[in-house]
Amino acid sequence: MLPSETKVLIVDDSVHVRLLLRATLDKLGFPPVLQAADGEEGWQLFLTESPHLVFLDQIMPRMDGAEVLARIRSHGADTRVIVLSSVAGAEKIIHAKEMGADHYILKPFTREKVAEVLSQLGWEIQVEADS
Amino acid sequence: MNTCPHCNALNAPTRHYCRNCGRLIVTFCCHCGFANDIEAQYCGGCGEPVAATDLSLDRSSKIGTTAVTPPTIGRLTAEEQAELQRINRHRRETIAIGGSRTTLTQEDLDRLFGKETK
Repeated sequence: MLPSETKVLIVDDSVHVRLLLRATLDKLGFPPVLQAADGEEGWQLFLTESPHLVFLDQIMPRMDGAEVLARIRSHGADTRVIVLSSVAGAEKIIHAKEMGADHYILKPFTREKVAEVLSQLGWEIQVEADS
Repeated sequence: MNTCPHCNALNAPTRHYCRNCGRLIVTFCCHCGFANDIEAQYCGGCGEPVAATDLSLDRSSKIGTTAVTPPTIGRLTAEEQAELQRINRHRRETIAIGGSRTTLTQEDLDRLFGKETK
């Protein structure tokens, strides 16, 4: 899949993470992304926008990432979900996998790691050199 | 002697909890209650596939609000068995991926999720 044809939703309560990830995806050729600052807002955006790809934090106000992930999978959509979190506990991570997460990236993340994971998931990523 | 899968301490076969880290080192069969070693696939007491009680991961849960009770001997409901199987699968995957660690690294995650990348 081409990055330029991908609708992306970032669900994270940290504005810094959203900004950094947005800049990362911009560098990787993705169009402007949708953003949500908590799980409930993310779920509502998911329902209205049907994104192809979701970056999902674990710990958020109102609705946590596990609940959002469960709802997305219950919805039956073929959306790719990458959990992006500082939660490194094995039980939480394996639970996310069982719930249908396509990958899990630990914070702090690098552009290279995001590009690598997206490539693995089928996106045609071409990393631009920093100017 | 049984080796604790969490801290590698050696324990007497009669122990259910590790003498060093306090974590559960046996898997109780949900069919007969037999205490199997934690990686057993089939029960040493009845020969059934091990679908067991997790009960508690460490001593701290013994003194929490949820009392830890001995495993129920006898048949569990299908729902209870499914939940126990899920917990045991978690435990095995955790041990397989992260060894005795309770937190995983990005490399662990790449192995865990990379296997099933479409």
